[in-house]
Amino acid sequence: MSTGVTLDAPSPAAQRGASGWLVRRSAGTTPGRLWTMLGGLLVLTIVAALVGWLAAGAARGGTKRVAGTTEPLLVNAESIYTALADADATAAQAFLSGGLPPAEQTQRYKDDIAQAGGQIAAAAAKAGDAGVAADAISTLTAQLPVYTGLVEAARANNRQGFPVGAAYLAQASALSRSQLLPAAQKLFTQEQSDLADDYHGARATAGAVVAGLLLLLLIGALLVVQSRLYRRTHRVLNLPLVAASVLAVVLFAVFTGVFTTQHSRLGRAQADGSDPVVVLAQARIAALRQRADESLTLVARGADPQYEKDFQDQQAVLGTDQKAGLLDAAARQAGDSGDPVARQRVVDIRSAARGYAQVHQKIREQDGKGQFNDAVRLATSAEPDSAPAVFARLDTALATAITADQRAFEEAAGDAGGGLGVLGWFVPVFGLAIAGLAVLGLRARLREYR
Amino acid sequence: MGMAMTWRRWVVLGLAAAVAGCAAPATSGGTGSGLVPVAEHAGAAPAKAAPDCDATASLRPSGELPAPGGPMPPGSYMETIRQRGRLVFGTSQDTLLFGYRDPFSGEVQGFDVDMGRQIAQAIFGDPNKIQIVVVPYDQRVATVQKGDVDLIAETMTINCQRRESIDFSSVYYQAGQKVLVPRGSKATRIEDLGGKKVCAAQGSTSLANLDKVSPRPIPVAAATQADCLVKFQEGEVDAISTDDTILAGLAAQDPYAKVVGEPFTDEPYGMATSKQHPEFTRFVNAVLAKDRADGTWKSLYNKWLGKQFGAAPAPPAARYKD
Repeated sequence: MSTGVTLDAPSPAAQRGASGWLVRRSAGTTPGRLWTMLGGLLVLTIVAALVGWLAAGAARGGTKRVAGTTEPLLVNAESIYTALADADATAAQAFLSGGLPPAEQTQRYKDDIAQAGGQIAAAAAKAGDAGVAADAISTLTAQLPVYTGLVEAARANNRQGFPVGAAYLAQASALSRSQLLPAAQKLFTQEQSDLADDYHGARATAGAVVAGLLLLLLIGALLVVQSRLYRRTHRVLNLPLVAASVLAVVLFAVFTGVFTTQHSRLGRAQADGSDPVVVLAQARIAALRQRADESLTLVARGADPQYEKDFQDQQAVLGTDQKAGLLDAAARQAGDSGDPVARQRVVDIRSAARGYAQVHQKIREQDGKGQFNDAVRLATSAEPDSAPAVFARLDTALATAITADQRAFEEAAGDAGGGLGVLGWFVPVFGLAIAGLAVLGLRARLREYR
Repeated sequence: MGMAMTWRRWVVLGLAAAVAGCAAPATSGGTGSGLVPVAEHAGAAPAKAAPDCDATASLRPSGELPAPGGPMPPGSYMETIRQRGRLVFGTSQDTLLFGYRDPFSGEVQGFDVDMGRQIAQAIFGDPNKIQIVVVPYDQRVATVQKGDVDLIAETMTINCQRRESIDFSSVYYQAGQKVLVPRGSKATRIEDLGGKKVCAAQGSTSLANLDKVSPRPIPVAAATQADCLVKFQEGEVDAISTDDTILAGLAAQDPYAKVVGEPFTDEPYGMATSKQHPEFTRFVNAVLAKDRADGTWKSLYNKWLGKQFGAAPAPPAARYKD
């Protein structure tokens, strides 16, 4: 529908406003085409820059949250869980060896309680007022003093030689297993799923991909506009548009570069850091639980087979001897990381777990044969091949690996968001520059129609 | 009410131990039944009639005890134990004075444990050839029946219902149920605790006996006697009611508790054995007869119970059926 009439003389109305002009006049005319091109380029630039800016902002906030809030909360939940499991195991130990518990055992229990108390307060400060985490924290806050009260009553009675002390300790352990440990586990599980959500948010994959595509589209549009102008005007080059194209290419490169780096660092933080931390923390808790089970079985003297059953259940969870379970998962993760040191750490854990399982087996055999005192000695004495020393090797191996993986997380996650801050100003500034250059380049052509 | 009083007077007056024994059905077995006299007199409807029996009559010892440490009669269960090298003995570890874990040494000891050690002594000539297994109250009958232990001495009342599944030695201790209340309490007997929470161990005759008290207290079951004391100290129950022997041990651990009233039941203790080996029950009875005769029973009584109950009385006389 080209009329071609007004090619050389745009109406005054056309000069009053581009939009009105565009609506009324056919886009087929040369100035019409020019205005369309300009409008298209401007809209595309603004939308691409806006989406890119938002994606960068979301990714930056998400990365910060992963590294600064969610993962520390997970570690915090893990240390509550570990401290409570360790307190349970330590209390059961103290109860098994006759007389007063050694000073270091008492100290260890106190440290556990102090750690649990401090971490619960920290978790409470960060968790909201409602939801699974808040419920778990309120259970922990309410029951921890009850637990320590029972342990103290046990200690006071034990000091006076009253056997009712043992009943208090059994109640404390039952409370820990029925209330405290499940609440700590719930908190841990919740933080795990929050972390998974935040990893997803931090990657801002959808926004980043859309912004990248829009930038590609913008580059394409700039090229198309230039080639049209080139054909129409037989001029060599429209310098502002060339500059705009260069800027768009640079913006695209920087944008994808930053996001690719961030994704790979987050991936590393997760694969070599937080994922192994989660698996190893669970393994450590299962191991501590086994240690408490072992003591409680001996304490019950045959009256309660449920603890030995629980020991075997935890053994299956750990997968000390089989091709499934937490230790196997940890080995796979360490294998995937390609880090020989990490691999060796898991090998050490597994061998320590096997060593402990063997000592436990021996304890059960002795107890089964009626050699109760020998079994207790093996379970409590300070000999290097007795359960305390062998278990300490396992616990240390697990703690070392958790610390190392936590450090790997912090290193990878700490600078994952680095370039995203730059993108925060880079995208709008380049967007404005591209838009300005597009206006500049096309305005010269539009002027020719005055 | 009047009928119940009649029954109570019977028991308190010391009606034949056999009848009182039958008066105490266990709660855990599920085949629980009411006391026959109560049912008849009070008109209550028991779930099932209790087996009637001469509960405390045990198997008569046969002849002299074999020399300790030497071979036991061939094919006898004592010989099986001797060849195994230890007596597997079930008891409690939280009943002060009878079977409890000494917090200082970690050893399980008490009057019941020494009763078991006497049997080990008679077989091996060594009271330490004994494997102590702690058996929960509500598992005592099942543990003996399954043969998981050779013998149980765990403040266990002989009664007809238990006799259906297992065997008992002659009576080695005569206890009766009383009540433990806070020092400041005005209650002087179990009847003063109607509507109050009263704790007893799960699977004990004491718990079942509470159902027959009028006005009825609210029975609260705990896994062990010591758990009852924990509940009492934590204010979860108002009182504990079980055998005077056990209450004495509990009161010794809590200066703010006192034991009140006269025994309102008759609890003859026996060592539980399997029905599979009557020769072993006869052997145990022979050891008990020796302990009664040579003063061992008295000296063990004085060792564990003298401080709480005064000098040893005459040991309960053995009654035999054949």
